[in-house]
Amino acid sequence: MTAPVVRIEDVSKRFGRVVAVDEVTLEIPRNAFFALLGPSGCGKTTLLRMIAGFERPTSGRILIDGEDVANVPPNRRPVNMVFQSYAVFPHMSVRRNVAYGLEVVGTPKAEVERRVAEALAMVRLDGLADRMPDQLSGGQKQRVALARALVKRPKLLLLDEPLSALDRKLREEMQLELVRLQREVGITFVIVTHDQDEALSMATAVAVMNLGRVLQVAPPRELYERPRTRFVADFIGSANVLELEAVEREGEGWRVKAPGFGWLRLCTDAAQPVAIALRPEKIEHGPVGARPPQGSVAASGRLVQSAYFGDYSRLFVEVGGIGLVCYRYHRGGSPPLPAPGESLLLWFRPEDAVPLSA
Amino acid sequence: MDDWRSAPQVFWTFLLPGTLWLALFFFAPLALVWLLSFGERTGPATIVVTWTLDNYRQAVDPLYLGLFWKSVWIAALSTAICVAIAFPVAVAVSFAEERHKPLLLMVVVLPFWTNLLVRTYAMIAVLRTNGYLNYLIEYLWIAAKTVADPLGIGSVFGDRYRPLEILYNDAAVVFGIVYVYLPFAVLPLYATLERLDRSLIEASLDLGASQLATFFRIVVPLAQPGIVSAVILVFVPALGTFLISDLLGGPDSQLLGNVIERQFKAANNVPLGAALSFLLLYATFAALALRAWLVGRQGRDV
Repeated sequence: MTAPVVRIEDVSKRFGRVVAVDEVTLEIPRNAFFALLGPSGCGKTTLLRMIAGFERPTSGRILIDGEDVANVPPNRRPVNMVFQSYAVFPHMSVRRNVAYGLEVVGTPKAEVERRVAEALAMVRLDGLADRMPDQLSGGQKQRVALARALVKRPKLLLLDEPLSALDRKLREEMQLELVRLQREVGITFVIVTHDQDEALSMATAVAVMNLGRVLQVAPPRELYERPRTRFVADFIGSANVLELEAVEREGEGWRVKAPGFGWLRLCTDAAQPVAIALRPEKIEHGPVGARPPQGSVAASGRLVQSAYFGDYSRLFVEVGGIGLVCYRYHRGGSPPLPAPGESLLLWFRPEDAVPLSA
Repeated sequence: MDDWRSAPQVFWTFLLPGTLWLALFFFAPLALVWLLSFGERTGPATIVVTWTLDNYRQAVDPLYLGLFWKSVWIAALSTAICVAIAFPVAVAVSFAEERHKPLLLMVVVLPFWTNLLVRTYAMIAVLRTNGYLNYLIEYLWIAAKTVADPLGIGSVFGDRYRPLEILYNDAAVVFGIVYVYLPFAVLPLYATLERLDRSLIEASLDLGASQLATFFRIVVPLAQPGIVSAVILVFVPALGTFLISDLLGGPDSQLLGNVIERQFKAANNVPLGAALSFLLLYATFAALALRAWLVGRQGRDV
């Protein structure tokens, strides 16, 4: 395991009385495609701007490659940024935009030409080098911004909501493109996004932020399968969160009582859970007389409503006074959907229940 | 009003007062002056429009042409100084904290609260031989001499302070024009810089450019529309000024504006004054056309 490329130590940022980033400690591994994910106003962009050098932390340290960058201005940091608005210089051609970052530091002309050509080829803009920005589409401007940053060969490429201004089809295309680029250039990418699909599909590691704090850092799969807090469970995908009625220590794990379902065992060495999360697709259902498989936890409920989505339907079921969501996949030979008001039996495997500690 | 075509009455109602005002008090007098420029004096107060070109022939006399070039030169120099001073001021205001901006802008336009004539007379009190600027310099001179005398090098200062001749020359006229028209340069520059996308500046810094390189390679080129507006707003009135050159200038600091004023008043040669006025107006049109042509050419390059 190599040293992380960025270490953020107890970093806070206050704007007047507003705490934008609250004692964040974070390591960004080298060569990662790292996502900062959170709702708007969670402090993710402020954190990114502190790494770039546009904001100074109120307290704490940021180390890039082991070096404290507190007194390094943005133009001397080995970091480049792709801005949300792209910030392509409107009075320069594509080629001059990409060359800008090399020219201002006095790179020899021949090298500038060679590297600009390389960068333009990398983002597939070779043919448009002499266009002006107002003759480019949004996606092309984004590629200019990418080439302009990558041509500097930074240790870290920061991307601030890079896909939010693109339409859906282009967004999906750019997602693949960014992943390809990251693998090709071997530079650590840090992307800020509020879109969980974007984060899950592109990143190798995701930090989920809310209210200025980092709640969990994990690979996408772990984040979805094992969220640790109510916020993460709810923000990543959809989840049924059941507040526990009682918790007891039992050996290595916990014995907990969930509303409607009664007692179940959770095998976890984590802190004492206060709630469990159940993904809708992990909850099975059947008619009242059904026999759930050995070891699963069952409860009977009443269908409140169902919503049809083509390949599946969402069922809203009331169990023990709380509402749960589960899915019915429309496979060949499935029995007809129960009608609202009808009774159902719901069950899940205890190992699919995710203990939440906050 | 989504479309003036769908509600022409409303459109005309709103347009009418302004149009009438311009027609009565701008175009009509202008047309009158234009007619008079082709007129001949037949008595002390009677002018007959005979469509003669004599006035124009007289107006392109080397004497007046020389004054014309001097006016252009003084106006151009004043404009350059105005823009050079106004740019940093506009940058400072547009980058100031949001809550300080109204106050700073008010300071910029504060001189407008006082009449131009009063301000120009105040400049005389400051610049004249027995003026405040000379008092200040004399004070500094005495202080320097007091320090230098015991060191034995007091003689370089001379034995008596001789007031500087600051007033009544071309430099004073340029100073006066800059002083009066500076706000006209600051405001359009500020408006342009205020709209400048800050992320462009950040992107430049992010790409390794210094603050200075960012200023000259990003901020100045993108502020070009503001610079053009500032130049026009200062150059056009400076070209026609007569009050400032009359009060602050010396006997040889006469500009074309002073000559025109004299033709209409003291010299009572209204046709010549009218012809000179229109030459000045055509020069202004030419400057505006040049600007439009430059902007158009730039637009094609883009």
